Amino acid sequence: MSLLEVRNLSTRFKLIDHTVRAVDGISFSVEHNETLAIVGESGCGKSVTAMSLMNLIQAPGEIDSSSEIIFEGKNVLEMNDSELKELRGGKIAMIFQEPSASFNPLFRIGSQIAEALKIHQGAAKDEALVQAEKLLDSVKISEPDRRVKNYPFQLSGGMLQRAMTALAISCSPKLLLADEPTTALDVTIQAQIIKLLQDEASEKNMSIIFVTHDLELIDGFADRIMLLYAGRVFEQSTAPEFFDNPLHPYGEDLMNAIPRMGLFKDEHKLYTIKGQVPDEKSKPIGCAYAPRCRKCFDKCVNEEPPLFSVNSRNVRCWLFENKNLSTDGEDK
Amino acid sequence: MMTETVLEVKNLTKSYSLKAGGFSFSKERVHALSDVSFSIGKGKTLGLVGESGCGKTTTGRSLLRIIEPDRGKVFFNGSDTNFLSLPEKEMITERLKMQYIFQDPWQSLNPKQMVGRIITEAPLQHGLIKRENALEVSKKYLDIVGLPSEAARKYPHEFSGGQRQRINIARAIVMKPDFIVCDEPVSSLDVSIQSQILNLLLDIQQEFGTSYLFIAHNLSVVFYLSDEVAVMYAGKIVEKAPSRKLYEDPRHPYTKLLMAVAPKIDGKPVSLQPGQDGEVPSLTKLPKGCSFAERCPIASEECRRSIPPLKTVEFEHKVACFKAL
Repeated sequence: MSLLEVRNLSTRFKLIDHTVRAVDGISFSVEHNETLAIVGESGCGKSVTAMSLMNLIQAPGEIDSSSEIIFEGKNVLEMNDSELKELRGGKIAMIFQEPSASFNPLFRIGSQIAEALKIHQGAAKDEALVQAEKLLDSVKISEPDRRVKNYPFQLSGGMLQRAMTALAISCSPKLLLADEPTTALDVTIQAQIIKLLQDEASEKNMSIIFVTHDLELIDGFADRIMLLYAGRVFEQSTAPEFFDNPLHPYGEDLMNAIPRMGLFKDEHKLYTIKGQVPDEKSKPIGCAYAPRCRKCFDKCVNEEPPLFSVNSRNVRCWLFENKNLSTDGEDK
Repeated sequence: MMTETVLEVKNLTKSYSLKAGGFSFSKERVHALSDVSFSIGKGKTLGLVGESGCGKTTTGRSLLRIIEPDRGKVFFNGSDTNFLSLPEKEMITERLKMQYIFQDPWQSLNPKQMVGRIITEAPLQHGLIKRENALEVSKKYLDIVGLPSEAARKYPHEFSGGQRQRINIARAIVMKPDFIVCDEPVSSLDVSIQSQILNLLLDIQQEFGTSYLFIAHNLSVVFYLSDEVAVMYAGKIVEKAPSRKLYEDPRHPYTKLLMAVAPKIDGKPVSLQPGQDGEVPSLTKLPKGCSFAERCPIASEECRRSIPPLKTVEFEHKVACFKAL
């Protein structure tokens, strides 16, 4: 059984004059000890997907009643408050983009980590503080005995993100949701955090959902990739398959638009994806990417493609209609 | 020099006092920039790369005197007079040909002005265009940056991040500058928009022969866009070479570290590098020797004792390291 099985997840935000379908019928699973990368540009629904997994969507947002999020055999969306409290920070933990915004500035780092241990593992206060110090040591923060007594502002961005990770893994979660955890950090620190996550995952048998817009970052790190666009799954592949040969034209275009290391302006022109990501009001009838796609044909404009499955990969593009082996049941 | 030099910067230095208020007598100073020198040829791009706090933005701002540097010389367009010592009135006239594109497209446009007004405000103010032509001029430059002419009558909030960055670019090029400081112009943009803006900057350079100082922390973007790349660390340039040469043959251990940890598509997981755990030294208490020595895997006694000068190791390739040969 998969650790997490998401079926037909739809999250909507009801506004005064229209409804934004931020996440629109997404299905995926995460196995034990696996890293899934959710990739896409801003507004594609990556973060909303991550928030939905912990049932953290607040009004005016709502998760469609037909959605199912099965974590260890139980539907997260049907859990009551005390079950959810146990789940969040316990079995599923989360780290965010801005570490300085995730800590309370008025409390010491140590006591904030200890709090999670007290709540989820019933540890006594002194015991929890000792444990917090060990956790800071395990994420390679130097002088952990001094750092537990520090306030968040006394730590650098990279160190805070490590402390955030220590807090997240404090209760040995089964699943870690990492929402762009390295975006605000320098490259040297970024690599440290990625390495830290990798090590913790393999040591603690933890699965990771890594939300990012940075394709280069997840190569060599993620096992599988889910490419989102306008709230829809565009492609699901293993990472090597995706980087070797992205099926969806959008994935291919993205790869060609990145100025990769070793490319120079005098010999290589970056591919330009014209236009921009559609907002709710300008979402086309057909494929959401059709207006920007260089391989677009009539059918793309008129009808939205279902998710075709091609050699155990999934792709939402009419180009793969005839290569279709079985259609995923989510659409039609 | 094969090409004409547009900008010549010598020993640009800037430090800040830590004095917080009237009753604080701290003598500590933050040494943000120490003796930064470089030159940029006509129609060329110099890339400045380094971690946050290394002085990239201070370089860009102080050479345009947005912040006044402590000392140094800036010669613009082959002039014999130091731009930094010009009195304010002349400085402003001279600066019309230098422009600045800011990082954050959300904060750098006045929300209460229409886009047409934003673009033409500077040329109107300086009497370069007539008021009756303003709309026409703004439409012309909107067209150059790939926005529809109706945009002139809209407000900044009606545009996306990429479009706002295009407005920023239009506002800069309307002055027909010879030189633009591009301060992380694409870091807050999505991948698909990033390539649009990079290509636009290249097209403008080709058409108008503009020179850029391109500041970014993303190494692959800097390598791609620049003719020459300077790597900064703790307020100093530690290595400078033509883009391709630096990519193929980095000499400074810090450049090597940056290149090794930059994410790339090669199917390999990240590996930790020697020196990676360290942090940039505090700019108030710079070490006696090389600032990178603490993190450097090959540092020797000499490195901790004295500061390595930026020396030419090969044609057009300069390195500030005793160990790099």
